[in-house]
Amino acid sequence: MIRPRLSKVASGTKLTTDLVNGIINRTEYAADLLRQYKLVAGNGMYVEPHYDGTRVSYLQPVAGGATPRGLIISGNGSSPTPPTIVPNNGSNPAYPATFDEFFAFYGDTDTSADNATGTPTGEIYINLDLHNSNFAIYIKRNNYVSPPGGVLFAGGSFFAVQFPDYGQAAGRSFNGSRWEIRILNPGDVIGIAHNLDEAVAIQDKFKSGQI
Amino acid sequence: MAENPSPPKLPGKSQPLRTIRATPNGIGISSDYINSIIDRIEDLVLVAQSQKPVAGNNITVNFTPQGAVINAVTQ
Repeated sequence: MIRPRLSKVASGTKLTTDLVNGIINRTEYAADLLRQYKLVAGNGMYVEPHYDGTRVSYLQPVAGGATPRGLIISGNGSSPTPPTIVPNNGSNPAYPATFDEFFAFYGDTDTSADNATGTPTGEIYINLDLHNSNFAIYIKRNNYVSPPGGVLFAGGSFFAVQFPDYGQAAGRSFNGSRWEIRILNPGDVIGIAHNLDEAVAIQDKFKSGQI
Repeated sequence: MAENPSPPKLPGKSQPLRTIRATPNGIGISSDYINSIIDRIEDLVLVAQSQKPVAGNNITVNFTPQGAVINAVTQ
């Protein structure tokens, strides 16, 4: 309820209850406005109170800080079972419960049983196509990208990525392989790539800590 | 640890109010004092009226009794 503006008083004016109540009502009017304007962030947003105003931002964590950047799975290839990433459908609560196109990961694989002591030679890239909600996974080994078109998954659907990499023959030994997968938290964005070159550029920045 | 600087002064000419002390025989309150209270309140009203949140692109603001809820506009 809007309360009327207070009028100045003249010398000798009696301090009446009407005057006091007018002051109280006008004060409460201002307080009510401020209560209404208190900002509460909705989903996927946060509010930063600053001394000179309130800023609203999307949830988009940046590098650094105390919050872990994402789930890190790593191993030395001795595990008998390659890791499986199970996103989105909630069937595996050990992994992120939600999973959308705003994610990226990279990995290093050296899956060759013939090169058990070799350094990682494989890299994984992801191509995010926001227009049709599809994304593709590219695996690069020794400068050879396989498969050429990437592995296309329907956005938001269940899929599993197994390591050693996609090109590994079924049943081949994992011994000696090294892998590391980093899955960013849901909502994290490190960049959007529409082709392999863009993905490489984004990944290089990510790995070097620039993003 | 870094701290935010003090908030800016309220717009207008009002000054922070000072409390008064009671005396055994009561006190007299001048019209100047009452007017300083009024000035201060009116400046607060101006601030409150001017701070209504305005949504930017891709953001909506819904005013509720508990406060203004901000939502992202998804496509």
